[in-house]
Amino acid sequence: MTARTTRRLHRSALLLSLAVLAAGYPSSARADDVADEADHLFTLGAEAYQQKDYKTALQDFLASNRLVKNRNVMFNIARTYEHLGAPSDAYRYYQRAIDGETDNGVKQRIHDAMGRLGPSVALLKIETDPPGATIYLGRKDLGDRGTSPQTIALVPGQYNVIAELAGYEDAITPKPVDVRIGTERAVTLKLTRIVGSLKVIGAVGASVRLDVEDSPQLCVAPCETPAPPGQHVLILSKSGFRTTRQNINIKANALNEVRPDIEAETGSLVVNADERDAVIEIDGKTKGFTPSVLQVPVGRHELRVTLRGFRPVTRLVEVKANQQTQVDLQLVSADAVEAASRAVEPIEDAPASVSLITSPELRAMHYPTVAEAMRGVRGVYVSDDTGYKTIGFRGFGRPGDYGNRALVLVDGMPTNDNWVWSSYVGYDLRTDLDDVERIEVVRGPGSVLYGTGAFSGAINLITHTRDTPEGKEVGVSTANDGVARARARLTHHFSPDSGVTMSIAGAKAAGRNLYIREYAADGPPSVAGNARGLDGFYGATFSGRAWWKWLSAQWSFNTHDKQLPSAQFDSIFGDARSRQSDTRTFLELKADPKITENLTSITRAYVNGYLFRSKVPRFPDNGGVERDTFDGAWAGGEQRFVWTPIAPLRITAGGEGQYHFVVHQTGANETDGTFLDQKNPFSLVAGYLLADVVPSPKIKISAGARLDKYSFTDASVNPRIAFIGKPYEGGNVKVMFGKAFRAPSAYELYNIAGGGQKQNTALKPEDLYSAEVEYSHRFSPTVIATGAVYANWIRDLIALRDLPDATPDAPSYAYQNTPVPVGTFGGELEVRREWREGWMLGATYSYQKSRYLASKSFGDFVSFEKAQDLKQVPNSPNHLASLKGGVPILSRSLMLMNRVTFEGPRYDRNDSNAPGSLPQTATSSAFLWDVVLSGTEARWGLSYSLGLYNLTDTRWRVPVSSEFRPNTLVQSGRTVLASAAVTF
Amino acid sequence: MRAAICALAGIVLAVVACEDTESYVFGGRPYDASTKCVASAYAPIEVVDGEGSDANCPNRCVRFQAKLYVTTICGPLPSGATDPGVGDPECADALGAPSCDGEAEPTPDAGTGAGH
Repeated sequence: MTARTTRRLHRSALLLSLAVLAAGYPSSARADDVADEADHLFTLGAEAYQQKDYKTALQDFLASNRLVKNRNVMFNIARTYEHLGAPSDAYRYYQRAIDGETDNGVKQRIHDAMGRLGPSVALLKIETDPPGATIYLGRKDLGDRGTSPQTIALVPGQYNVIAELAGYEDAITPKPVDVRIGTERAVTLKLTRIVGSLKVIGAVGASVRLDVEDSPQLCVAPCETPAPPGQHVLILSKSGFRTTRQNINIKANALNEVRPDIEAETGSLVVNADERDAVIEIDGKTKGFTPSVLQVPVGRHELRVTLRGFRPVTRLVEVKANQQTQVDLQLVSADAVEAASRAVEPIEDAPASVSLITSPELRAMHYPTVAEAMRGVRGVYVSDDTGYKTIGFRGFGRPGDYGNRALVLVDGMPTNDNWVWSSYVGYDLRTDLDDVERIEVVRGPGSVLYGTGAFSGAINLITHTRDTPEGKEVGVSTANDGVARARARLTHHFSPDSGVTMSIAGAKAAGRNLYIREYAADGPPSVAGNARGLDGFYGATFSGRAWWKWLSAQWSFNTHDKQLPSAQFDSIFGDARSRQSDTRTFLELKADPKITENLTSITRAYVNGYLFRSKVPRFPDNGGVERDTFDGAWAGGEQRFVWTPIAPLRITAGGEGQYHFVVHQTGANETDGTFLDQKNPFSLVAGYLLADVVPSPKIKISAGARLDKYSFTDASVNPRIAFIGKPYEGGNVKVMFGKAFRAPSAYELYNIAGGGQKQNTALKPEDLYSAEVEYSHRFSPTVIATGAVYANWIRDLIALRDLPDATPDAPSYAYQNTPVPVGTFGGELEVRREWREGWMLGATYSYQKSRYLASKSFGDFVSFEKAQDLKQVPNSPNHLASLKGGVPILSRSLMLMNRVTFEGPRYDRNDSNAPGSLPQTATSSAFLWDVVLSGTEARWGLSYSLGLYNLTDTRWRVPVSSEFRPNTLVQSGRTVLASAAVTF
Repeated sequence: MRAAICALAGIVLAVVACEDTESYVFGGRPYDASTKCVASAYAPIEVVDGEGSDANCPNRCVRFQAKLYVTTICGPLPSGATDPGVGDPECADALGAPSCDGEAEPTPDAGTGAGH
C-alpha cells in the first residue's frame, strides 16, 4: 500500500466515522437489546479503527453486522479489510455495501474503491437463467455468496459454482472455474426446472391452464404437458362449455393423469313448425318432434326438420348460453316431380300434366296397391280382370292390353316387362306401398324420356329415398279381399352421404269369392257359377337402395303367384289349378357425379329379369292342361350429360342401349305337347337431346326429341315441346305438344295360341300425338285449382283382329296395326287444398271422349268423324270424378280420410260394327266410397290404420278382354283394411 | 331387435312358402244312352282335392249322380263317383260308342290367347 493510499484511507475513515455518527447509527429508535449490542460493537469497532487497530475493528464491525445488517457497517468492514490487505474480502463487502445504496455520493465512493481494488482481486461474474438463484462456491455448507447475477471477488484459485433456486434443479459448473488476479471470469448457469408431466384425458378441445385463468395456456386437451410439481388448480376452458376447476397434485418427474369432465353450456332451442310431429334432428341426431323445447349445447348447430310428404328443412342455428332461440318453420309440401323431365323440378315447371299422391295421402288411405292409389287421380281409371290390374289414362285403356300403354317406374327405373311391355300396378309390383314416399302421375306422352311404353302416361314411385330416417320398422297389415301382409325395413346411414335402406315383405291372400253368371251353367253342379277360394295369391318383395356420395344402387325383387278364378283362356271354371306367376327383378347402378359446376354426368347400368309361369286347366278335348312360360332377361346402359352453360339454359343429351338376351316363350299342353317355343332376342339403341330454356322468370320452353331403334322394327322419333308461362303471381300456363310410341311386343309379334292366334312379325310401332293446355291458379300457398284441355290422336293401333282366312269354324287372328285411328278430346278440373295439420281436400272431374275415327285425315280428327265399321272405344269412361278429404280427429293420433270416386259407363270389348257382330253394352256408373281411420304416435314410432274400402259395397264392373267369356267382371266389393307398424 | 327381425323374416318366409290347397275339376264326356253316343266335349263332373293328374289314361267310365261319363283323366274319382268297369253293360256300350254328331264343340272367342 502506498503512502498516498494510506493517507486517503485515513481521511476516508474519519469521514466515515463522522458520517456514521452524523447518521446517529445505530438509530435511537432501536430500543431492543440486539440493536444496543450492535451499536456498542460498532462504536468499539470505530474506536479501534481510529486507533488503527484494524483487526479489532474488523472483529467488532463483523459482530455488529452479524447482529444487525447495515450497509454502512459493511462499508466499514470493506475499509478495514482494505487496511488489512485483504482486497478480495474488501471487494466483496463493497459489493454488499453498494447493494441497495441510494445515496449517489456514497455509491460513487464505493465504486471508486472497487475500481481501486479491481487490479488486485480475482473477479468471478456469475449469472443464472433464470436469475435470482442463491450462489455457493465449493460447497453449500460454506454459506451462500448472494444471489445471481453477481460479481464476486475471490482469492485466485479454482472454484466450483453452485446455483440454487426453488423449483429448479441445482446447477453446478461442470468443472472448476479458474480465476486470477486482475481478471474477470464470467460463468452462466442454466437452471433446469423441476417438473412433473400432466396428462389431460378427454375434455376434447379445452384449453388447459394452471392456478389462474389468465395464466398461459399449457396445451389443448387431450394433451400432455410439463407442469411444476405441487398442488395446483387445473383450469379447463372451452367455448360453449362451462369453465371447469379441479385441484390436482403434480408429482415431480412423474406422469400425472387427470380425466376431467367439461359440461357444455346450453341454451333453449324452441322448434316449431306448422305441422306437428315432424322429426327434429340436431347435428344429425334425432332429438324430438315438433313442437319442442330442446336444451342444446351453446354454439352453431345444424337443425333439420323432416316430415313425410314435405320437403326437409335445414337451418343453421346459433344457440347462446342460457338464452332461448326460437325457430318457426313452415314446411312446404314436396310437390316436386322427377318423372316429367328425369330431373327434380316443381310441378309448375314440369313440361307435362302431373299429379302427385303425396306421402300424407298414402299414409292416410294406406293404399294397398298402386292401382288403388290411382283411383281418383285426375284422368286415370283402373281395371281388374282378376288376373292383372291395369291403368287407363285419359280415355284409353284397352281391355286385355295388360297396361302396356302405361309405363310404371320405380325411382326412374322402368318396371314393365319385355314380353308384353306389361305394366304392373297390383301386388305383382310390390307387396305394399309402405316404402313409397310419393307417387308421380304424368299424363300424356313420355317417350321423349323413356322410349316405348310411356305412351299415354307414366307412373313413378319414389321409394327408399336418402332422406329415409335411420331406423328399423316392422309391420303387419291386411288389405282388400283377405290379404295378410308382413314387412320389415332397415335403414342405416353410415355417414351423411352414405347409407342403405331395404325392406322385405310377404303377403298371402285368400282372394275374393266370385259369382260369374256366365259360368252358372258350367262347371260341376256344386260350383254353379261360384268361384270360391280361387282368387288367392302369395307374393314377396325385397327392395332397397344403397348409396355413397354420387354412387347409388337400387334393386327390386317381386314375385306374385295368383290363382285365376274367371276361367280365363277358356279354362275350366272352378278349377283351382288355374294360376299364373310373375317374377320381376332388377338391379340398377347409377353414378351422377358433378363433373364441373355446369356439367353433370349420369351413368346407369342395369340388369333385369322377368319370369312368367301359368297353368291353364282344360279338358282333354281342348288340349288338356296347358302350361305357358316366358323367360326374359335384359341388360342395358345409359349415359346422359346435363349441361348448364348459362343459368337460363339446360341441355340434356344422352344415349341408351339395351340387349334383351333372353326372350323365350313356350306353350305346351297335354294333347299336342309343345306348340310354342320361340326365342327372339332383340336389342335397342336410343339417343336423345333436350333443352330447357328460361328466357325470363315468367317463361320456360322445354323441347327435345328421342330416337329409339329396336332391332325388330322401324326407328321411331318422338319429340316434345312445352311452353310454360307464369302470367301473374300464382298463375301457371302450360302449352304442350308431344308424340309417343309403343313398339310391338314380343308377345304381339311372336306368340301363337291353339285358339287360332298367329304371329305377325310385320307389326310396326303405334304412335300417339298429343296437344294439351293446362292452366293452374294458386289461391294461397296451399290451395290450387287446375284446368286442362287436351286432344290425343293414335295411329297404327296394335290390336287383335281377325285375319282374312278366319271362319266361324276356324278362328284365325293376330295382332295387327289397325288402319282406324283413335281420337280423344278431353278436359279436366281439379281443386286441391294441400295437407296442413291433417286437413286436406281435393276434388277432380274429368271428361274424355275417345272415338274410332273415320280416317287418318286431320280433318276427320278435328271434326271427330266416327268410323262406321267400329262402335265405341271399349273401356273408356267419359266421366271420372273424385273427392278426397282428410280431417284430424285427434291431431295426428287419429285422422279420418274419405275418398269418393265416380266413374261413368265403360263400353265392353264388342266394338265391331260388322253384320252379325255381338251388341256392345256399357257398364253401369259407379260410386265408390272409401273411409280410413289412421294415425301415428311419433313418440312410440307407431302407425296404424283401419278402413273400409267400397263402404257401400257397390257391385261395379269393368270390361274385360276376349280372354274371358264374360264381357265384364265385377270388381271388389266392401272390404276391410287394417295395418300396424312400429318404427324403432 | 334381431329376434324381431328374424321372427318377421320367418313370417314372411312362411307366407311365401305356404301353398294353397290344390283342387281341380274332374270331367268326362257324357254318355247319351238314348242315342248311344258320347259327347265330343268334356263336361265337368265334380271338384276333387289334389294337384290334378294326366289326361292321357285309357278311356274309363265314371258314374256320378246317375249319369255315365267316359273320361281319359287319370287319378282318383270324385267323391260319390264310381267306375262301373267294363263289365257293366252300359259302360261297355259307352266305351265303344261313337261321338255324338251335332254336339257343338266349345267355340273359343276371337282373341283368346294361350298364356299371358
